[in-house]
Amino acid sequence: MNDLKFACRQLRKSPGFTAVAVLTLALGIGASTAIFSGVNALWLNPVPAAELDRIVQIRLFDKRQNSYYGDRGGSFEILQELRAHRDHFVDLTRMTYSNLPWEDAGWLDRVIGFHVSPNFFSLWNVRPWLGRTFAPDEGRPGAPPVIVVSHAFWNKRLGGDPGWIGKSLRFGDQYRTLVGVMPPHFNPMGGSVLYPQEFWLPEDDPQVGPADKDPEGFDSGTLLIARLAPGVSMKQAQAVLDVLVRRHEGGYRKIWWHPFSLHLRPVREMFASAEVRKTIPGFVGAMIFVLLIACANVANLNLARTEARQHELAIRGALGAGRFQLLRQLLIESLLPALAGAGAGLVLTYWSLGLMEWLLPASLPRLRAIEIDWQVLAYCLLLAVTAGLVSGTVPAWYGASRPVANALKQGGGQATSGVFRNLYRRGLVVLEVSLAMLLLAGAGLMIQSVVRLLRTNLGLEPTNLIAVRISPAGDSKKYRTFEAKTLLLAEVHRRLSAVPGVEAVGILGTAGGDGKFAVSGQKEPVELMWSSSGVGTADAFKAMRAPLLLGRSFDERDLGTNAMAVLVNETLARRCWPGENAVGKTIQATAKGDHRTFEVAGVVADVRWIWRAYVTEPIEPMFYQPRQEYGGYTLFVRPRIKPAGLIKPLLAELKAAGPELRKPAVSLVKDDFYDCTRLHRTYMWCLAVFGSVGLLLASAGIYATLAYSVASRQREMGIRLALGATRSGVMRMVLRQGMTLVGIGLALGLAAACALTRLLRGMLYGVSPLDPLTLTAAALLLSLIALLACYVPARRATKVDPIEALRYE
Amino acid sequence: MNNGSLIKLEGITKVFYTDEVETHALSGIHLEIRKGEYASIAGPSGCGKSTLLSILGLLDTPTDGEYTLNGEPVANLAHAERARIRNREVGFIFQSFNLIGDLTVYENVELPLTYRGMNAAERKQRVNDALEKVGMVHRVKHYPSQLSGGQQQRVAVARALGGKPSILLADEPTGNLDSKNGDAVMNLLQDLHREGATICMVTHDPRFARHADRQVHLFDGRIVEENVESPEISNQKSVVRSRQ
Ligand SMILES: Nc1ncnc2c1ncn2[C@@H]1O[C@H](COP(=O)(O)OP(=O)(O)O)[C@@H](O)[C@H]1O
Ligand SMILES: [Mg+2]
Repeated sequence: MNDLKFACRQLRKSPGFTAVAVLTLALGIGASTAIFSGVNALWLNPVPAAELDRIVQIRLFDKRQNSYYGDRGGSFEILQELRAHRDHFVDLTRMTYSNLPWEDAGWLDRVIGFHVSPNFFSLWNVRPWLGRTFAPDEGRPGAPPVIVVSHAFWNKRLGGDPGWIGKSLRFGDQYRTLVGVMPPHFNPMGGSVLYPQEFWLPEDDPQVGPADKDPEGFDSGTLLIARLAPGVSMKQAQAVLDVLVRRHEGGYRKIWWHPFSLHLRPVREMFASAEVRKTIPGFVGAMIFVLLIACANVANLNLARTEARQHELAIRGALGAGRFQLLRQLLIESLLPALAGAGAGLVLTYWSLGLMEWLLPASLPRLRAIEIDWQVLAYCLLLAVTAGLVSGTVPAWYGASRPVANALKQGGGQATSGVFRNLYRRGLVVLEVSLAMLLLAGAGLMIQSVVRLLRTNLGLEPTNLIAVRISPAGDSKKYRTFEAKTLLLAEVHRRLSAVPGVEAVGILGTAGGDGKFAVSGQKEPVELMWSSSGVGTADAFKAMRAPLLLGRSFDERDLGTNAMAVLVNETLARRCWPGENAVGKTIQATAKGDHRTFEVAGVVADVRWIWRAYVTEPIEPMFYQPRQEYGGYTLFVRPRIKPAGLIKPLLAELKAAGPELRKPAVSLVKDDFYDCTRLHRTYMWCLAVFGSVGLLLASAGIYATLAYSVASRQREMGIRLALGATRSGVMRMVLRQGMTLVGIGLALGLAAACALTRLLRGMLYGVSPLDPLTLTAAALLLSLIALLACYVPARRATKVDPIEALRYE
Repeated sequence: MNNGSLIKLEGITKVFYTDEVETHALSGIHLEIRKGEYASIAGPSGCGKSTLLSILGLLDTPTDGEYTLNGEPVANLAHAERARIRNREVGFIFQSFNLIGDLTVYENVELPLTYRGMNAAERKQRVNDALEKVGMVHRVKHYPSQLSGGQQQRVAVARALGGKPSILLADEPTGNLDSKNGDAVMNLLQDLHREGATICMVTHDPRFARHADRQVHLFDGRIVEENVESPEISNQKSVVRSRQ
């Protein structure tokens, strides 16, 4: 207790030291805790339920295709059979996609959501934002229809009015009572901006509606989750699944079109999507490195303070304090600022929570809010204690183990500083520089990646280009026939083209497919993707301004059942007929009963648009047919004027052309593209912030070390000046001393960067982890800042007055 | 270099301005020191001895007055030029030795020579010669903290000698030493003087002051008295005037 009191007094006595130590640790601990709170909520402990590790996901594995189908878990039959194994699985819950009609500003829209077992919410242990979730019997047939909606639905479509709870909502011709609103962060399946998930319906009924069946008629069973019964291991549970699968071996077609098996995995893995996992090494690295730099800085401060107190410590020793007692005293004094730093760091964390929510891509599956909960607090405390010990142990050990006699001998008249202490100090600076180098390398590589990502050649001219996605409303039979679709598209095209300010309107089929095709000149059939484009004035590529590289575009001749002309993208041309002219080559279907042969009329540039190829993915070989009767369409509107003024008239014309169309989604291609780089941009910002904090702390460390060295070597500087050193010589000496350490740190940092940046590879785009330009730039930036940090104390060294410094005592 | 005069101070005044208080540390000092002379400066604490030595050693500039060293006016030179002259013409010996703790004995002695840009072989020769003179050759690899005070001061003397300066300036060189070690250092200085070195030493101790040819007494920034001990130069009257 006395130790603590004395420690507080000591810290109060040197407010400068205390403030710097606390602030430094606040930055390090705050940044680490902020990242932890995000990583914890999204990845480490994504589910607020108790005994998270006993909650498992059951996934259907297609043995013939040798793959999973997303999160698909199997049909209601499987659920029913598993329910019989109450001794192995409890809390079984299932979720399937669903959609409901919704009227929005005169348009018939469709909202996407899920049918879920009534225990769905309680399994996750997520409480509603408003109202309640489902009662156990609400899923049964005949129960009164109820609905729980997402926070976004409530906000956007119901004006955020809590009064809607208990009221009836109209979905087409059905009415459902709104019983609850989920919190904003409840997004278990990671709905995207394009396909937000907006509602949950209770469902405990084998007779699921037609919307929930695959086109092939399989129950789509989006998600199957269970809790293992007490005492049951994953292995035992898997054995039950294996038995169940074997029972269906003969009649697998009832469930799935290929032989299948069912596999278990811990539910937490559902949340650690491949995308998120790629970001982890960078985050963990950044977290550790920034914290280490902060600790190194504070270790240096602690050492300096211990040195300044040698006399006091010696007196304590002389009065009988044991080495252990001194050690304890000094450790407490380094733990206190660490705890205070953690407190201030929590404030930083708190401020950054909102920023993180804002930066996070909406497509991340998650259940929890990023918040400061007891886990985060515990982590923060752990960091504080670790930081206190890491930064305090060596200085404390040094302070406690000095021979008493030495310290009591006053003066000595030497500008001596122990070899060990100097090594330790310099080692810390080298460490800081190399860690900062690592952080900057990571940030630099990510900045390069994002720059390249944003500069990706989309194969089209995205500026001002408007994309309008249309599809016939779910329950409208009107546009199902080929003729009806053709008429609709013609009318839409005619009307949109006539809107003043519109230069061109192109139509691109959104649906398409892939398959094996025999191409001329190749023995083996190749895997190709296909889609469709409008012809003539409806040419999608013309509206996009995607360059035609060879041959011709589609025209009216190409319409009709006998016309077999196709356009291929550059990738297909290059892959199938390298070095040859693709025009005139043939592509033949190999499917059963389909032997159509297409002839290549032209080659268009590789076009990236977000439903076909996310920017970081490789371009698939692709051909386009001049046909327009597939499921959905994207209209590309090339305006002559600023697009903002066009949205309203375009919507009005669409309404006039197709009164029963579902509400079209209108966006700017540029925005869509920008949106899909969000994860990369978020990551870049995080690494850049960490890089900057690292740079700041490291340069503060260099500065402090040199400044301390200069201050404690005043006398030495004085002697040197008295012996004939020039001021510029002294300046050079200090600079050299500092920059030598920086140089060693840079070299080590570069070596470490070469070894570690590959961990970022998953998030890098178009840049090698060893990109010389980036590494050089990072090293240069660091050197420059370091030079500045050295310059200030070096200048101070030249200001030493030799007479003053040499004056005896 | 007329009549062997190495140092000539004329009307040297030094005023320190601190917190709006003017301290007249030196007032109108006239002093001439000739080649080969051994002068001691004595006086009560605060009378300006160290200030005078700093000006002599070009560590500080006078507020007013003329300073001629080796026939060159040096009172108002630029920093770099003063550093150069200090390095070549002046050897300092301090009360508190002022060796650099991170450098070995050898490196300490070598330091001023490196500032001169001397080549390594010559430096080595000079360092060894100097250390030999003070009897410290056997300790070249030691660090100052491993030496006794007397030994440290001898190394400091060697450092001052290495550059073959025109004058050795010593500010209370025995102040930090016990009497035995103090005697040893004083004997060393006397030996050096016999070999021809010009020395100007500040000391409190009348015993040591007597080693010198000349004793200059300072009081309140002025020279108040001068005794010439050595018979061979007693007839060459040194100028002692106080400007009023
Ligand atoms: N840098 C300075 N600033 C202000 N006053 C000074 C400074 N250096 C010396 N003095 C004053 O000048 C006077 C002479 O000092 P000093 O030459 O050190 O005396 P001594 O060496 O004879 O004891 C003293 O009064 C001292 O306080
Ligand atoms: Mg003095």
